[in-house]
Amino acid sequence: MSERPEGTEAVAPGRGAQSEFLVDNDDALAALVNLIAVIGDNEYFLGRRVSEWADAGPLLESTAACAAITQDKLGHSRAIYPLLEELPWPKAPTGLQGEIDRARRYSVSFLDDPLPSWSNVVAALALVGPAVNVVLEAVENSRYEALARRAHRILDEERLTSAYAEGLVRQIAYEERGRKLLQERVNELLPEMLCWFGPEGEFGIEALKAEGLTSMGNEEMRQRYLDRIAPLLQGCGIEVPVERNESEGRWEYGELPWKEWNQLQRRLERS
Amino acid sequence: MRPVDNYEVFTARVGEEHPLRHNGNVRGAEPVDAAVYAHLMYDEWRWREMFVVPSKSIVRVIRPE
Repeated sequence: MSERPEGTEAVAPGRGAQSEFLVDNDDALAALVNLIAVIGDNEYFLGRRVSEWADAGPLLESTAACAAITQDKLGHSRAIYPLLEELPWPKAPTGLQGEIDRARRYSVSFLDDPLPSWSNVVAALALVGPAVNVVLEAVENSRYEALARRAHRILDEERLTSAYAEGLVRQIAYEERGRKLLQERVNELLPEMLCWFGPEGEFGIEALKAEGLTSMGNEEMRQRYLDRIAPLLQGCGIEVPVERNESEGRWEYGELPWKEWNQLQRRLERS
Repeated sequence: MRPVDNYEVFTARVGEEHPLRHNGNVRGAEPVDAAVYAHLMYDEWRWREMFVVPSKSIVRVIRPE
């Protein structure tokens, strides 16, 4: 996804092991390593942050759901991380088992610290989860079959979590106070999530597309993401700074904070 | 907080010999929420079928003495 992912100063050696997935294009391979680290870390930190609410949801049912989602998310990250070892790339990021296993994080900054309120949990599940799912959809038919298989399985498991997250949005937005809190979280998180897909025509993602490793470009993923989240939020009375351009069949979202964007780690640099 | 209703959960285990049985209950603001909660909370077995039914829709025919 990015031009210079971690450890890509050197040209990747072709180790030639039979089990390795080989890509001739080093730019595509670097972007693939980055993409896998980004999916893995966001699954990991989303699971971890939700786990911290597994004894504190507003209903017994939501508490139990947090525990189940934690299991799912951490399981997804554990399914994704081993792919980093499979790819013939020096100094690829390692998978995370603990929060401080690696200094460099490839997750959105919203998940850096424990989520301080239930509205943060709702925002994370409603805005981060669908973004990761859109990227998984983009690699579901990837030429890299090991990734495609995992993406397919994760997306199958995500159907329930997605329904749950949508229910949480309707639940919290039902009353004015909850709606106001969720609005604050959306204002905080949405710009980062819109940047998360990267600028249009980004070098790394175009290399992935050219190699058949992903099926969607950044803008296509961002539009699909907005198709999914904007109607839900707007329907619940949450103001979203996007507008549907029906004549062009796309969402207009204005300027994004690219100056604060860390392309390698796919996150906003918060001051 | 959005008002929640009680839903009864009915399940049947995989295998033709297992009949539908009452499993427990969940609370949800709408049927889809109740269905999600039931799926997440009653995941101790592989179910052939699972239903959630609004408790208020159940008509009691015989009461225990």
